[in-house]
Amino acid sequence: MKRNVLMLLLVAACVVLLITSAVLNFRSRRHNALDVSQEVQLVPKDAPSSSAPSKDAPAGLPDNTPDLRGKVAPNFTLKDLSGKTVSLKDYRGKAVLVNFWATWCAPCKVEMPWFEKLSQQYASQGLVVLGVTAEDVPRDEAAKSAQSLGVSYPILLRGDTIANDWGGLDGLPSSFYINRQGVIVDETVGLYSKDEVEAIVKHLLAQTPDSPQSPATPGAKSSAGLAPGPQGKS
Amino acid sequence: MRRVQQLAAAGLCGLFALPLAAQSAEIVPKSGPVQLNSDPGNSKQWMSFLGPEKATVVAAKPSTVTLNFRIADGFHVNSHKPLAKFLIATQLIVVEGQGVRIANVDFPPGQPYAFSFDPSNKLDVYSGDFAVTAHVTAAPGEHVLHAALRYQACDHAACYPPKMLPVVVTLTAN
Repeated sequence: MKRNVLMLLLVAACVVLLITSAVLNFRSRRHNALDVSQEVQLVPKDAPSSSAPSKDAPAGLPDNTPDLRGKVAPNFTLKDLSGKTVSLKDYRGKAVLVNFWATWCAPCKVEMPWFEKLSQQYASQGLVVLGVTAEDVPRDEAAKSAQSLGVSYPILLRGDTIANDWGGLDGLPSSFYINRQGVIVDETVGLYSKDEVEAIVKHLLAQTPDSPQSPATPGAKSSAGLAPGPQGKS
Repeated sequence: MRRVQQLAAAGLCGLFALPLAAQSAEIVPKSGPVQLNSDPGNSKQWMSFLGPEKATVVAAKPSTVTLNFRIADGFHVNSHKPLAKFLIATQLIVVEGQGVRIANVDFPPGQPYAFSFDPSNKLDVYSGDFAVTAHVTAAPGEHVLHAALRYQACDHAACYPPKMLPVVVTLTAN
């Protein structure tokens, strides 16, 4: 009899433990779900300084960011991950996407795999992608980041030494789309969507010496509305 | 049964202990000439020091000074314990040898955050106002504590280079 009661108590204890565990598990999952919804709410709808497009506002360059579109791209000479010297002027005649990034920049790491794909997809049309670190970072660290992102296009080091020539590079990622004549056609600061990046690349590749100097990205504050792009934005 | 209870209790204790462990303090002392004003050639800040500019503590006894900061609207900075190695943690850098000894600094726990373009990548950040508590022991007299908060800010789509925010507090130890 005593043994039966003991067994009954043991079974009851197990049931209680299972229920407690299930409740705790449910609460934990619910808590995590709340965290996720909180994360979504934390994303500001109209952050004041970034240029990346949102549903509510047309994209443009951030305040105080020099608009280099329509200007000849400043030449640079930097070393790549293997120590080889690379100059921008070596790529004259190609359509070049110069992307400044940093190892601590999360948005940069989102778009770099897109650039890798685009560099392969449009290589036959003359597209070259150059990734330039905008920080004084050890070569191994930059190489490790590039490798983990599956990037095989050239990564150049010490872009921080040429930041002033490229508008200061205050916000990252910063990308410059340079046509075959060496003129900056488009400039973006902050993360754009994959489709928007590809549209800008297509716009770049479609440039001819006779093309009007109109960027795919909307105008900066100083020239807002003057540059409707292929996506119908103004 | 007792063993099960003990295990459950230990498990629950472990659960509660986790948030406390996340608040561990760290301080980066620097000796010699230190550039605390801002990063060279890049003075724009995404955060401000709200004070106090002055504080009074008991001389030669452990005391606390709470330092208050405000992050600009629409921005966030990595917490003291970011979740990825490549991210730059918020740190307090203090110049030593000013008649004030800082034993450690308590940073608050961060808030969960994910960029809308990368929701699976969880971050731990500060936004809005936050405070850090410095545990200090000061020699009798008036001392000027020179420090800087090193942080790295982002908004919803772009990130900005690390900054040094000057923190200057006049401490009176009676």
